[in-house]
Amino acid sequence: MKKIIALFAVVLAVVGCTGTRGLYELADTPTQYVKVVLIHHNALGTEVADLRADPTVSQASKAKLLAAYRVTVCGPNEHVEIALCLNGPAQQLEAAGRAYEALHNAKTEADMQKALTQLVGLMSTLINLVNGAK
Amino acid sequence: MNPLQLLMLLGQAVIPLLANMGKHHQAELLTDALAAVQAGKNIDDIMAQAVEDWKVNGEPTYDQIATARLAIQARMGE
Repeated sequence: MKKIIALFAVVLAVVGCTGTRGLYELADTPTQYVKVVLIHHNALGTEVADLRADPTVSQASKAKLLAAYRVTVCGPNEHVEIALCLNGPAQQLEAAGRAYEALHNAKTEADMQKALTQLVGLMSTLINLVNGAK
Repeated sequence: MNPLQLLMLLGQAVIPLLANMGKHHQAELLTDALAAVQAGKNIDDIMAQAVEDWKVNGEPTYDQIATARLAIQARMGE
């Protein structure tokens, strides 16, 4: 029975990822790829906000979701509410993307790659939490 | 009805059957699997809409993406 349930989940997950795959396929340039990652981050944030408003989701899950989202938009020294955070990994990637868009050189590319790696790692945690929320 | 909707419907129908058969753990596993898929589907729907927007309006600007992020940050309600 467990195998059937696992298979069912895999089939559903595969069927349900066409939009995400489609958006990543639209990106032809590094800066477009950064924009897609940032849009994906916003999509995750939207789902986190929805789950936090869902009365069937446990308080423990809501707290974990909030903490996981917070580290994507707030810097380690920003001890303010999330709405006021200005310098998290998402904003750093955004700034790096803007810089690369304005000036393509080795430094802006390296900065963008570094910021991308940091945010994607945190998004991976967020994705796992969103999928495990109940 | 698309294949995903059909599978979701089948899954929801199977959960009470499993519970009636005394297979509560399996019913819980399937409930969790469906909740995870629903969350994934919601995100995928947003991404699919972004694909349409991109195709119609061209790639978004960083300002547009940042504006959307700020609105999401404001929704977190700590």
